[in-house]
Amino acid sequence: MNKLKRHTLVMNFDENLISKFNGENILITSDSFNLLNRTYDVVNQNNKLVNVTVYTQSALTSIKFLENWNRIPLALYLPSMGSYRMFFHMLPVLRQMNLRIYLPVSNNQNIIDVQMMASLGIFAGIYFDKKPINWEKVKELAFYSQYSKSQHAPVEPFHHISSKYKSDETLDFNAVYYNDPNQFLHINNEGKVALTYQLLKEGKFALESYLQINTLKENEDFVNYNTAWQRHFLDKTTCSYCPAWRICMGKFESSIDAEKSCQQLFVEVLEGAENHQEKNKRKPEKVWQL
Amino acid sequence: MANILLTQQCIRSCPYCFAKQHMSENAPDDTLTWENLMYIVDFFDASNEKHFSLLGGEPFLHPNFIDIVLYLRERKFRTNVFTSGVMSNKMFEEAIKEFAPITPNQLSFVVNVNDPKKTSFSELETVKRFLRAFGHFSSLSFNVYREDFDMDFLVQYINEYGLKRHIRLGLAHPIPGVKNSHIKPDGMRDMAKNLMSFIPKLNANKISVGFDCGMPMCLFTDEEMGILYKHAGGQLKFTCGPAVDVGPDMSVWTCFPLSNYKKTTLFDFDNVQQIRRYYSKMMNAGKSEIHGIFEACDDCEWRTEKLCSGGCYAHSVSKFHNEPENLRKLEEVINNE
Amino acid sequence: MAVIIFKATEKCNANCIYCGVVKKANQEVMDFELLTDIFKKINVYLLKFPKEKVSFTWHGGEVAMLGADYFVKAYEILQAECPDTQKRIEHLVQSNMTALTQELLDIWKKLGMNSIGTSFEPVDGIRGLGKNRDSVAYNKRFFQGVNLAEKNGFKWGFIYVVNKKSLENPMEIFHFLTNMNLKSSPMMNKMYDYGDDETGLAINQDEYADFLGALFPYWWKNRKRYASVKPFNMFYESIINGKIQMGCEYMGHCTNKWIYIGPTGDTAQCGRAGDFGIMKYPSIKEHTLEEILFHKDRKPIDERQIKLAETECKDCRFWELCHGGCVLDAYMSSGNYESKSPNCGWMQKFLIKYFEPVTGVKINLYHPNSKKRIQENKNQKAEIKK
Repeated sequence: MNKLKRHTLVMNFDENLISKFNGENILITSDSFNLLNRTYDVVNQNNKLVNVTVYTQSALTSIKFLENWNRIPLALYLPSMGSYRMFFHMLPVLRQMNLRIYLPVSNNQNIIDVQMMASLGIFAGIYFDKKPINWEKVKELAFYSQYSKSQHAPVEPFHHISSKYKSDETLDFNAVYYNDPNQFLHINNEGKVALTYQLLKEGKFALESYLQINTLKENEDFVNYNTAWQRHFLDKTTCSYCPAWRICMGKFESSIDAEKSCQQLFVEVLEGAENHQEKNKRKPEKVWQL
Repeated sequence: MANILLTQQCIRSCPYCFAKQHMSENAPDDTLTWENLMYIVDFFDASNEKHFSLLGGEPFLHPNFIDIVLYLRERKFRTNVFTSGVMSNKMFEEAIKEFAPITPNQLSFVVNVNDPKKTSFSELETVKRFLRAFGHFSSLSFNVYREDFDMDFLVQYINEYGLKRHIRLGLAHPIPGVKNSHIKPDGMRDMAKNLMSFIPKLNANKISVGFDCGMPMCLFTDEEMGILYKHAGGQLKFTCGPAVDVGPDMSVWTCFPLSNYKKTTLFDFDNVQQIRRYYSKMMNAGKSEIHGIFEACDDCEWRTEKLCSGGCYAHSVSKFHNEPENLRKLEEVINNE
Repeated sequence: MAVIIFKATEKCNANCIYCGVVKKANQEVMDFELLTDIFKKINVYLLKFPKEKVSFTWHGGEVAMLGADYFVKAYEILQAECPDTQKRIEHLVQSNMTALTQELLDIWKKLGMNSIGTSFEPVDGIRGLGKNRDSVAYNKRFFQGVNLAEKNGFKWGFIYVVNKKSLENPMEIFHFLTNMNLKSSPMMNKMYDYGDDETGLAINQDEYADFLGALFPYWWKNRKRYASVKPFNMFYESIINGKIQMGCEYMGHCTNKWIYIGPTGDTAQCGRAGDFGIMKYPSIKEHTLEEILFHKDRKPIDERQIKLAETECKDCRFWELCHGGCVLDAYMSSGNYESKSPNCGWMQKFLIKYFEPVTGVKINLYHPNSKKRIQENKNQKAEIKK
């Protein structure tokens, strides 16, 4: 099979499926913590494990972390952080892990907790579940992520936006959640390929087999996905007039409120990303020394 | 060291309390939120000041007090807590358990105690319980509001509970516009004499006394100054400068007695140094306009040399509080700075 | 460099409301015999002037209507007639993007093209296909063209024609246009109006200045993000960075550089002159390229510069940005080449009312020989010395 080096293949832990790949970047999704070590060993035999992403209904503080998980790059999608007391007690263990924690943005407490975790050196982020968002709170989190003068761990998706932003390109931060078919492809146990996690769940496959991945560039679904943004300009949606279009691309079209709160947030995030670029440009070049 | 108010609530009702008016004007359930705390910690971190004091009201009354201390420890902050030592059993047990792994260089308590003869039995027992458990973290604070104060019990506490061998002695100051117990200027000399009477005992017990701000130098004779100098190892303070207090609502003021005077907000500043500069400037401008607590302060060489501030600034502002014209002139001078 | 606006056809599949070419309704297509003759003459010109280059812009109408085969043939002719000079011929193309095909792009690549100039209009009913000016269908095909072009590695940049409809919500228009293509920013031109506007869409000088003025503070604040939006970046480069980079209408030295060649070999001063049938020169059939580029009828353009600097534009502090404006506009409004263009109205208003207050820069770009400029320079030196 031709390798598409830039794609990470996202799949469940299925040893039979994994054995068909060689030299690929593989990301495993799971709904439990069982078999984490086995996953690590099996995938890394002939491929590279990008991370294991666990989607669970347990709060962070109710998870019992095992010491030997510290070799496994882990991403956790959790409903909440849990009690602060327990979190502080767990910190020494968490800090040994190679860990990212994502909480749903719809709960205001989660937004505070993401900042809490980041302030203590834990890579954390929000993800957008399909529920009403407190845009003001998200704005505060974005401001913290981009402007805080105190050191902290990255906060997603703002870290991604700041670090990947280029002024002459749009930026799809769905990549943070593996939903960018230019970087991630989702494969089911039968080897069929979907462009996003949602499409995989819905059984909508772009390719009947992973063996066809090298035809992706010409694949109609793939092309349509990458040109779907043009609909906004054909239909002249509110998003097409948004000053922050380039880093959002209409993700919140269905939930635009009268104050255009999403626009207010992303305009500030865009300015933060530009500041970040500017600061990095001004860093002095390294000078070779003995 | 700056002070962060966790809560406006207090269990006690000390007659000299200089936080009285501030607390009466603010909602009792106004406590510092996690968001504001994180902002404050970042603010101080970015200012390269990784230490501050936690105050109230009574900081232990904050529902998340323990977690706050644990958080500050994780952020590598050195925390000093001003407390009465009076708290519920539940809070006490929790503190014992959770502070066990913390070392005294990460956490310290300044326990503000009152004369046992003027304290209820139950309160006294609670305080002693605290001192017994956290003696190695704690030092004592005592506020003088009467000329005939007693310090013997302080010596006893330090010896009995193994406390740090230092007493912070504060002089209760008047709050502009409020009637709180304090020593009037004409009673201060007697207060000073009374203090000097305790120095031999403190020396014998190897306990040092340090003055909080606002103690006038002229209260002591030259001979007394020499004794004090030796007692304090040369560390004597007779000046009054900005402390920097931050309220739960992120408002900032220079010190509690002046908590309603030139209040600002933390969001107006980029760092702690800026706040100090702002309030120093304000106080210096004011001090140039008004003399200290005594008439003689106006021509005092020690004041000119900035060895003494002429007592608490709040004293002087308090005087002007009932003189609108003078207050207006003072405002003008400060605003023009 | 000589700039040839080459219209092998003026046929168009679109029906843009303000287009002067559409009104001509010229359906002719240049035959290959004439095309061969033209390339021969370009070759002669370039052989005579070894340091010269030619910018050959395929224009229209809509060039895609020529079809890929036409360009294949053109390529063959080019190779046959300009074997040693074709490297000094830079092919550019202007297209509405709605009729692109893979075959067209393939041959355009062979001609060395890698970008397409185009135009776009967000408001429906102004650009469209067919008699009814179907904008929905037009825009759909526009984006299909964009996708095909980008797939083939072509960049694209576009002009936006500011019209009455634009005035309703300038910022929305601005964001829409700048969002559409992040790799290239729009050029916002005023809709040309020579007193014959039947559409009701033409805007006057003030309206254009105010449109730009409504956008400018935002652009200024975010100029790094929108670095190449025109005309703002032209003013920025010219005034702030001191590198005069205004469009051809304002550069004052188009005399012997530009030429329009139409489907039957008719020529004129430039593309716009050809569209409006003014400033015509003899047919390329009977003359060499050099003869037309240096035709005696072009002299008034040079003389115009000298005259304006001594008369109407003598004390204008925006001279170096404008040079009296486009000679065509001057002719269309006054009937002669010697007067300044009426378009200086919008520029002055924009610069005085918006540019200078927002940027804090006082513009001093008088004619180099102007006494005022000399005095201003003296004053500035004195200030610096103080």
